[in-house]
Amino acid sequence: MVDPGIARPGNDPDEQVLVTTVDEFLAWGKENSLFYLLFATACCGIELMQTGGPRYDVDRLGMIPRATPRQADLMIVAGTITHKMASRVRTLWEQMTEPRWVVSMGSCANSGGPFSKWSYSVLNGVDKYIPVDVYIPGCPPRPEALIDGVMALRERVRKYRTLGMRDRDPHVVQGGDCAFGSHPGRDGACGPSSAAPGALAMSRGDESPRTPQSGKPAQVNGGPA
Amino acid sequence: MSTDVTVETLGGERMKLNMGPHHPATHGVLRLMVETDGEIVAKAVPDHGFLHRSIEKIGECVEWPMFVPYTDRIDYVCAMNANLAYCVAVEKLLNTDPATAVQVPLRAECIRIIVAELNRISSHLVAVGAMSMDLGAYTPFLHGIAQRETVNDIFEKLCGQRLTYNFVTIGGVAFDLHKGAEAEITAFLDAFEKEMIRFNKLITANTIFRDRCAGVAAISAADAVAYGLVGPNLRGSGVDWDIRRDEPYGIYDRLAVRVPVGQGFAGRNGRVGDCYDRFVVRLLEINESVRLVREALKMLPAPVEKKTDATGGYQADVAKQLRKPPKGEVRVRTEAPRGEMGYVIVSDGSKTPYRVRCRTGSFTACSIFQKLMRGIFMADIVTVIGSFDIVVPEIDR
Amino acid sequence: MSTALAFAAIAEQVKSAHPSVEARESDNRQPWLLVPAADLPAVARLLRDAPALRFDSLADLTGWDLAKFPATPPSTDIAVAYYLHSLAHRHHLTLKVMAPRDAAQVPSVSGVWAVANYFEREVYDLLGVAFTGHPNLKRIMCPDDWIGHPLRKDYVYPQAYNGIAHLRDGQHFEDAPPRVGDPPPAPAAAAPAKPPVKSA
Repeated sequence: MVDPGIARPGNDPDEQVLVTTVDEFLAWGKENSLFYLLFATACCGIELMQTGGPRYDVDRLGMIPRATPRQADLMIVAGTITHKMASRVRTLWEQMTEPRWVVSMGSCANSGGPFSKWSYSVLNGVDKYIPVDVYIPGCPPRPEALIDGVMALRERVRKYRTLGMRDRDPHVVQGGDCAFGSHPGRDGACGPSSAAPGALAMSRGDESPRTPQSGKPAQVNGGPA
Repeated sequence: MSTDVTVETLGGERMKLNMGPHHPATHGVLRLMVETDGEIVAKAVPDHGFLHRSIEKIGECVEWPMFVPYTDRIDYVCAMNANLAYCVAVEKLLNTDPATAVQVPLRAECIRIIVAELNRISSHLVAVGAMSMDLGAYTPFLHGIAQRETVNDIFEKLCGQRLTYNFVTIGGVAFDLHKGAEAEITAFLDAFEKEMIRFNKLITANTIFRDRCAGVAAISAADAVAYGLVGPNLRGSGVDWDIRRDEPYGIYDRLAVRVPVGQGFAGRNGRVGDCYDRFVVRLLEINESVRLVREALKMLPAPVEKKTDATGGYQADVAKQLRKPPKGEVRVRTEAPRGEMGYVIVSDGSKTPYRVRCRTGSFTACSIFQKLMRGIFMADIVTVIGSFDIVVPEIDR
Repeated sequence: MSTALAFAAIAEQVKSAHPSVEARESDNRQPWLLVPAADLPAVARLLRDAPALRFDSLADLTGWDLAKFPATPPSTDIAVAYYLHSLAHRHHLTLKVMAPRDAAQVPSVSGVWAVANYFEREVYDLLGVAFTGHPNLKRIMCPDDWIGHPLRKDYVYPQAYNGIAHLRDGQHFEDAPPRVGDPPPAPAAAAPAKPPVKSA
């Protein structure tokens, strides 16, 4: 440690060398440049918009909206997903490049929210189609809650290892390039129960412990539920 | 922009493009199946239903007051107006029978006007901001959002929510105005009017923006009426019709509602009913709403202790009436920011509605897309969609 | 200068041209005209084109299933309601056409009011009323392969769509609407059966 006040921070030659692993360096870069997909379906989309607005300004977290999934790292599922929309969400998620993360924003995307009981067309939770990393409660969540969720996600991104062992289930990768092994027992690991999208059907009787639904998501304290 | 080159004069191969349901310029999950001939759109067929949340069916499952939160989700950009439309409809149903008649307190009526018009302002800010963003001008959008945040703050103090308020209830409003609300609202309006001058300098008077919108997708008054356009989209075509003035609900009949209509604001290249007219009509309506909020604030009676008081109260007691409302049906039209929000309510005399039907402006606005988008430039598609200010859950419900 | 006509005057004009049209009133005294399905296109054209009527805008078109509506005798119809409005004269009119539930067919008015194209598609999708002569009668809200018409009163919710279950694992709601293949129908059917036993 340099004595504060003697030199400007970073000017000391000792401070200009930082020893780290390639993996940690890459994770640090990923964590600070979470480009998110501009994807909003319903009410939460307005809060997502306002989070990107001048007051909450998520740009300062390195989060920049991207219109195309191919340039996005993060998909914030903002709003209700209906049965008709769900397969499109899956397509979008498949178009994103690995590593990719999903934040489910709001009650509708989490569990169907106010539509879960009486609606015939709403999917009760987007995690039936794609694996979700962070769930944010609220209808809609406040921008503060969304930022809190993003901070929780950043914890996960920090643990992501590009070259070493993966934090995520490799089966989520289509085409079988799971060269780096699988670690289903790790804390917080999640992924769909099966590789092929056609085999994604998860009926009520599916007791597989590794369905996305029963994965252990990061806990987030959100706004009013 | 009009052009001599048409689909008919140009031959050649057509390209099919799929725009949406995920596309940043479709304001949600609208899908357009576009067929282009070079740069010109030969055909654009909208595909809906990606956000069909069966809200009308839910209306048949829940009790009368329980449906109010769902109206928030029909149009979340202006949830106050959506609440109001349903509540006015149920009150009209109750008033068809003297035994169940309900008298909304005057103070509640004033608060309704204040919140509805404030919400209209914030909704139109999103509309004009998003339209300019679609056309490449990102800054006006941020200015609009910044002002919207202030409105959200006022609403949050009022009812605890930023977006889906559930504030207007059957028989009044859920809470009285908080202490100092009048001063807060007045301060916002004063600051906002100055801000709007800057906003207009930034985008409305901007030559690039104006020329981009001028003459694009002009709709004649006859077409606008036949295709069921409502609200600012109808008025943009020069039709002088506003439900607040012509079929007033609440206490709009005591306010002087002035109705701006499109007149080819873009000047030389502009035509009545083009995208620029729809844009400008919204901005003029924002000014009108500012004035209406001020008028309603002046009319606001002093609060009293008793909440059901006919003048200074804020909520009539309707719990008993709603257990056994009159049997029959009513239809009510209200003016939401996206045009007519009409409810058809059928009651079988029980505590749940028999049928709730919500007619929204965005749904009918989509019916003209196919006709309108034939022969325009590819790049003008986003202009047209932006100028209609569609909100997808309003289309799909 | 008001040229708006009251309901009685409008009804008179329509009835003089089409005697089959009846003036009716709902339970809470909201007046409407009952139009036989076969006469609808002609009545619609008259309403739009007659100079004194000029109903240039179709403000709303919707419908509801009368299967559970308390009436004597119980109805087996779907009511299709047309809410007309004249911007020229500023008057209103409600038309209704009754279509039998099992073979609901109504002539399309999309040639009269362009907006009816969308409204009719919605009513077709949600209530299963076929509009004959409609240029593009396809589902508009639900996916094309959706089963059933959701706003009918006997609609049974699907258990799954596209192989994905609607409910979450182990999720169960009390008094939720019936779903396809639900186990509960037996106890639910037993409960209403009790009172008749007692009375007998």
